[in-house]
Order: sequence, then structure tokens, then C-alpha cells
Amino acid sequence: MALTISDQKFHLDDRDKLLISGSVHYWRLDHLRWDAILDRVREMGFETICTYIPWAVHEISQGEFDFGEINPDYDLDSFLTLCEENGMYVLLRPGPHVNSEITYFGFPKRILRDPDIQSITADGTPVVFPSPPRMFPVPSYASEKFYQEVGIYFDHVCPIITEHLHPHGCVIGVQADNEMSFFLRTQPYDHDYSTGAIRLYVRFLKEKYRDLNLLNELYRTDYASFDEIPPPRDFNAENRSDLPYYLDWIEYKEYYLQYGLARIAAMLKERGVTTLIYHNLPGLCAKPPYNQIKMEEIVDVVGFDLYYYKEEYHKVKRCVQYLNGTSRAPFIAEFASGFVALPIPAKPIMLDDARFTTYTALMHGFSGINFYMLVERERWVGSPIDRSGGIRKEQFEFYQRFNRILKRMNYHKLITTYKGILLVNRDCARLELASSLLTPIPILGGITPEYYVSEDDLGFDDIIQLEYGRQWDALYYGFGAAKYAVTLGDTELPLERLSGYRMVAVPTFEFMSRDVQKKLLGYAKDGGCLVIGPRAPAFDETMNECDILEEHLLEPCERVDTVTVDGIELKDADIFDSTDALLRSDHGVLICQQTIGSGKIIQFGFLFPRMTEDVPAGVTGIIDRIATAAGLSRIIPCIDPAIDAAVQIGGDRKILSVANTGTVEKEVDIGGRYIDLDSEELVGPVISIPGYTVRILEAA
Amino acid sequence: MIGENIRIVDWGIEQWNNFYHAIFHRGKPKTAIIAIHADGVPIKIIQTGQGSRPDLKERFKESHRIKDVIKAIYNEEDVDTVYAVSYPAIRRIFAGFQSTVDFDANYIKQLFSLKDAVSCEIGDGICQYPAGPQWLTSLEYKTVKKIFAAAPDNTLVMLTIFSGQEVWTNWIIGIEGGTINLITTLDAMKPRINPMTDWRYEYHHITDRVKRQFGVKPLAFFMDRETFRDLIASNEKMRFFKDALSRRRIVSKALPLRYRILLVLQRVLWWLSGRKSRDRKGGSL
Repeated sequence: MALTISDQKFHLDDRDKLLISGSVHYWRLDHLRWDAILDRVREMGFETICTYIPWAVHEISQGEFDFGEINPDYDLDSFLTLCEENGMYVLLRPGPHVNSEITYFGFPKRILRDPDIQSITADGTPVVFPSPPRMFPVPSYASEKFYQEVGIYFDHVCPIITEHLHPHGCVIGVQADNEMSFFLRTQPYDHDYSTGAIRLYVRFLKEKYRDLNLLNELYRTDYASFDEIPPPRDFNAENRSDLPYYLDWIEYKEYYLQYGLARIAAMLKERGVTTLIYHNLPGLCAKPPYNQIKMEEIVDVVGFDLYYYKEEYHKVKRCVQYLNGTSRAPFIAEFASGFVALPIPAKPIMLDDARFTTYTALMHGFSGINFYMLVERERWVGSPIDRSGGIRKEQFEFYQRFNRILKRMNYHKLITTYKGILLVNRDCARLELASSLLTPIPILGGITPEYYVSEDDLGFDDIIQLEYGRQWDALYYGFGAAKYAVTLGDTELPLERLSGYRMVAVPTFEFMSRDVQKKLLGYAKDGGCLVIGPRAPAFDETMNECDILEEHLLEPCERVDTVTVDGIELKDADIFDSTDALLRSDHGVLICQQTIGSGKIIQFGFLFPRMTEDVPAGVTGIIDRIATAAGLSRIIPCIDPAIDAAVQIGGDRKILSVANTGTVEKEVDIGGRYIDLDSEELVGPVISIPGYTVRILEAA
Repeated sequence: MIGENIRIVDWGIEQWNNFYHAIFHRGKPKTAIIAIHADGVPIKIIQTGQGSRPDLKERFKESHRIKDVIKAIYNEEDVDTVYAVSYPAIRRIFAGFQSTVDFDANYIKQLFSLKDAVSCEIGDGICQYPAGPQWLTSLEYKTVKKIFAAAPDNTLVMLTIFSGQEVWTNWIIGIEGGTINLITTLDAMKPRINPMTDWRYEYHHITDRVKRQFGVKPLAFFMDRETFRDLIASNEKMRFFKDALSRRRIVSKALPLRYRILLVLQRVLWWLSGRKSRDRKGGSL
């Protein structure tokens, strides 16, 4: 039996398996040191390791490979055999893309130089990846020749992999490709416009519309065939009826990544790699062109790679929560342990960062985590083990202790309890990306859509592409600051999955896919509490009128430019004539609720101000009214926005994790007595938490 | 130049962190307002740290000269720089760069392809107020190539900065044929180098160990953090460096003979000029 997944957990040989692993790159280490290095890895408490298999390292010339015949450090078979002798499990990542901080990201140079393989920009040039020590043209995942070449490489590497598949061998999972992300150049009108990619676009449109007349009617065009449809190369929409063409393009961008993943995964399976197949996306990939849920229809599990500093608590939280809300098993495919060593102006991630972010991930719940890297090597620093097998004491002890705490917590038995879920509204997120003015500049860290989206209202009441992110942030930070257990999800989730939550919240504007509207209505009618606003959807994704939700909502009787509630300025506020009010102002009702089927809908009609983690008390108060009406209760009494909390339950055990996300020590009211799992002391109801620290407590 | 398969190994992460903060992470981040426009019509205006600033679009209606508009915005808003970027220019920069970059060239030359594509747009496609430094625009690849070519061949260059008697950051760079093929640190030394009591007298222990490890005597420079900080802050880095060498604020080892002669001459000249200036000030002598 391979590694399997059920109930959001991994299982191996019919037993729960908390997938805790770390990366060790065999080909970058002296093979005479492999044994000693694996010993050190085990001493830290790891029984699973992970390694890339880089195509360019093993290919000597076209069709000729060295898997140890020439260089013993490249002997993959011997390395896997050694892992088996040491009783270790292995996750393999044969690429073809591996990044791995190698020049050309693991692709043979000849592959990247082949014009038939290169991705092409909207302006007809190759797509340059600007990483030192060499910039290179990135390949197109729509190129048939690319897949032919990958096939030759897979023909040589897959027989070694299949020889070592569990249960005969140590390999329990294989990653198909790596960080499928247009090589991080995700802006919509950047690339890929190669011949193969345009053919794929036509195929996507044919699959979606089948009938060209439907498309012509929607686009207001008269194409004689699907092949005539030009892909958009810029955002030129002027009103909402122009949008379907652009929204389709963004959906196609998602499709392109799914296509690439499906091809690589199928090629592995065709060559006998019949084990758990997984994939990893780079960081918080909750929005287009990523579609984690669709990707999990292709492979068994899709995780995220997390490289964050201690100041980026909310990025870690969002990643882990989104995986909790959407994935079959929340898996962090790469988690920073050390940092890339390249001459680039990037602040290294230090142990101090890992101390906080690792426990942040733990408190929000994962089924698997792979530390990248456990063993230092060329172009990587700060790992617990150096490349000769020596240890870096502080780092080594940190991971030893982390593994001990996981055992003490019985972590694999715990379930992180979330009563509510905040959804990414994929329709709005697609519009957000479609309207980008930053193309072709790749999105850099810290740049939010607010910096690059168009500010035309496109005929809507609000500038949706600008306001959507702000409203989503307000709800996210608001629920967190008020200490409600609300996880993250996506409107792409099936109804069955939403039904597991007492509350579903989603920022809505004037348009929303017909299917999503039906699903949300069904959720509420079946007994859920749906929280929506600031606007009721009146159109579907084709911009045709669609009142599936609207007919169950109150129509506003007035709109006020600004309403101030508890010191918070709420803009463009709709006033409702409701007898069941959750929030009133001098102008009238701002938030109302109404019963529908066996559930209810909570509706608000105003724009929250732009929000960061420093949530004002007034917003916490507004969120409190919504959450209380939805039947949620606070995890802890403290409402300091710098403090966050999460609860995990397993059998009759209840674990409370409390994080101080700020720099200074805080006294926190946790509302009861707990045993500190680190010091084993009885603490509470008020505890002290130093800055950037997570305390893990068990209900006494 | 940077080698295609450069070996980057054994970087002490603390050393790197110190170096990063000394070089890149100094002082308050610069603030800017960036106006993206099409033929003078503003499409989007953003301010770093604040996001969208649609209120500033009004300014563009009042004047046809973009340069005047950004100057006016600069004078009224509390930011370090105001940019006006033509949207088509963004695409031209990328198209120009990606169609001309030489994939066989070294990384520095590749970066110059990007710099050249950006430079073409400065003035029209990209307006900036206050104007940026001219040296970058006028810097040519051949100048940088000459600097690299002048570096001693097949050697190691080592920079060591001390905090007290502790190595605060250390970099060992291997150069072959004008190409950097190795970047490492003292973390590569096994066993580790013992702590020192006075690095100004004991620094040669480090160079000896590096020579033993790599078989080449490094061209080594040693200084304390304060000197390094002053060097980074200096507007005339080359002059500062030369002065610091001659005054032994920076200590060097294995400097080629011609450089050593120059240093001695400079030291003599400095001594003479120092005497003259003391004499001019009417010292007690």
C-alpha cells in the first residue's frame, strides 16, 4: 500500500502517518557521508526524507544519463537502498522542474535553448527568468516537444523509482513537477503565447462552450471557428459585458497549469510510478491562476511551500488555514529550514524566524510538513546538519524538540476545530487578476492587487477588483482579532464540504457564478449560516441577470455615503428595512439576518475600511455581532489583535495554542486553566507570552 | 563576472545576515508615489505603503507636462520620489530586454541588458522627480568588464569584518579568468578558527588557514564594523577605501607589489599634507 489519505490525514500501511520529513539532496553530498548524514537526520526524530532528482544533473548528453555509473554521488539507487537499510521513508521529486537553486532550475541547457520548447510573451519574446547565476528562457508547458523530452528522462529515472516503491521500498510519495506557476510570472498578459499554448487556449474554449454560437453571443463576436479567437494581450474591457472574454482567459490560465500537472502526473503513472502523487505551489496560492481544488482532482494532494519571516505570521496562517479548508490533507511541501544562498538582496530566514513560524503552522493544523533543507549543501545555508554531517547545535536541538512536542501532543490524532469558513470569491479574484495593469512585471513580495488592478468601475456600483481584496481582508483580520475559529476556503469547494461549517462567509459583489450562487443558497437552506455582503449578486459569470441569491435577500431602501459605527467609517452603506437587525446606525439597519429553509443569511451592505492586522476595536465589535448571530463562540476572551488562538481536539484532549504575533511580551486572558506542554506547569487564566512566541496548552 | 556553475558553499547564516543588514537594510525605506499613465492620462496612482491614491489623478488634468505634475506632487506630498511611468513603456522595457538578452552571456552582462532597456525609457517613458543618479544610466558593461579584468587572476579575495574580536562577517571569493567561481566564508574551515585576542596583530592566522585550505594565499582585507559602516555610507567609496588602507583602518594581506608601492607613496603624501595643514593652522611648532 502506498501512502493514502482519508479524513484529511495521511495513512501508511493502514496506520495514521503524520508526514514529517526533511530535504536531503543526495547528489550534492559526498556519497561516503550519506550514511552519517542519515544518522543525524534520524537523531533529530525524522523518519522520512525528501529529495529532488534533477534532470540536468543526471543527463550527460541527450539520451545519456549518469545515475552513479560515473559519479558515485549521483547513484540514486544506492541512496534509496541506504534509506531502506536505515528504515527511512522517502518522498521523491523527479521534476522535470526542480528549481533547487541550481542554474537553469534542473532543466538541461539544451532544453531551454530549444525554440520549440520556449514559452513566449504577449510581445513575442522568450520569457526570461532572472535568477543568478544565469538568466534563462523558461519552457512552455504547452509544448509537445517538451513532453517528448521529459518522457526520455522519465524513461531512465522511473525504473529506479519503481524499484523502490513502498511496500518493497522506501518511496511513499512522488511529486509531479514543482511549483507549477508560470515560473512565478503570473501576471495575466505576460505569457504563454507560444503556438502550443494558443492551441491549448482554443481547446479550453471548445471544451467550455462546445457550441461556437454560445461563445459568439457572449463575446458579441462573429468568429467562424474557435481557432480564430485571439487570446487577450492586455485588459481593454470598458464595461461588464466585455468581461467574459477576460474572465475566460484567467480561467484558461488556471486550466494551463492543471494541464501541465496532469501531463506530468500521467507520464509518471504510465511508467509505473503508482504511488501517492503530489504537487506543491509557491506560497499562498489561493487565487488565480492557481486553483488548488481543481489540481487535487488531478493528483492526490497539493500543498504549499512556505518561506516566511517571523513578522509574517498572517501569511503562514493564511496558507495553513487555506489548506485546511480546501485540501484532502493539509500538507506543507516545503517549509523553511535555512535559506537560499545566492547573491541576491534577500534577507535570510533565520532560526529565530523558524522558531515562530514552525509553531504557527503547527497551531493551525497540518497533516504533513517537509523542512527544506535539513541538510545544508551548495547554495543553501542555516540547516541543522552541515554538508559533511556535522550539526549546527541550535538548529539541531530545535528540530529535535519540535519532533518531541509533536509526539507529546499526539499530533497525528488531533483535529483543528473550525466552526466557520471564509471563502475566496473566485469570480472576484479572477476579475482582480484580469484587470491587472502590472503586466508583465512579475508580482514581487508585498505588492497586493490594490497596487496593480484597474480602477474602472466597469459599470458596476463598486470598483470590484479594488474593493474585493479589502473586504476579504477586513473579514479575515476581523474574525481573527475577535478570536473566532474561522478557517479559509474557496467558492470552488463542494457543498458537502461547506456543510461541515456552522458559518460560511464570503465577500460578494454584483456578479457571481450561477453555480456558486446555487451552492451558497443550498448551504443556507440546509441549515447553515451564510454571511454575505457588501452587495447582493445580480448577475452571473456571463453578466446575465441572475437573482438566485438576490431574491432571498433584502433590497436596500437607501444608500449612505458614510456611516460611522464605534469610530469606524463604513462607506457606501446600504440601509435595510429589517425587523431582525444585528447592527443599526442613525440611518437605519446596517446588518440584518433572515431565515431561509432551516438556516439563515446574514447580510451587510457597506464597505469596511482598508484593514491590516492592527484591527480597531470598532471592527472587532461589528464582527462580534455577526459571529455571535452565526452561533460561533470565542476561543479565548482576549481581543488584542496581536494575539491569535487556535484549538485542536483529539478524543477527550483539547489543545489550545496561543500566539503573540507582536514584538513585545503580553499578558493574555485565556479564560481557564491549562497545562503548558513545554514546561508542564499549570497556567492560566492569565498567561504571559513573549513576542513572536506560540504557547501550546492542554486543557487541565 | 559570475560563473555559470559558481560554487556557493558554507555561508555562515549569521555572517550573511550581518552582511545583508549592513548593505541592503539600512535606515528608513524610501517612499514613492508612482503614476502609471497612457499618453498623460493617469490610469493608476499608488503610494508605497498606502496603496491606491486615486485622489491624485486630478492633478494630471491641470497640466499637460508630466514633469511639472510630478514635481508638484513631490512638493505637496511627503515622499522621497515621484515617478510617472507610461504603461506602454513597461511593456517596451520587457520586450526590449527579453528580445536582446544573451543567454550565453554572464549574469552581469545579462543585467546590463535589462539596465539598457530601462535606460532607453528614462526621460520619456519613465519620469522621476527628483532626478535619479546619472552614474547608473551612464555606466557601461565594458567599464565593469575592465574592473573585473583588473582583478588578480586565479586568486582568492577575502573580506573580513570584525565586531570586537569576533568575525562579524567574512567572504572568500574565488576568481578564475575574471570570473567568480566560488563564494564561501570561514565556515568552510574545519576545524574552526580559534577566537582572537587582537585581530590587528593576528589576522594572518586567518590568511594562513585559508591558504592551507584552498592552496592559494588570499588577497585579504580586514576591518572593523565601524570602518565598514563608514565605507558603505561614503559617497566616494574608492577614495575612502584607499585612504583607509593607507591609514590602516583597513588592513590588507598579500596585496600585489604595485598596490603596496602606491600605498606607501600615498602614506608619505598623506603625512606630508598632514604636516602642511598643521603648519597652516598655526600649530605650536
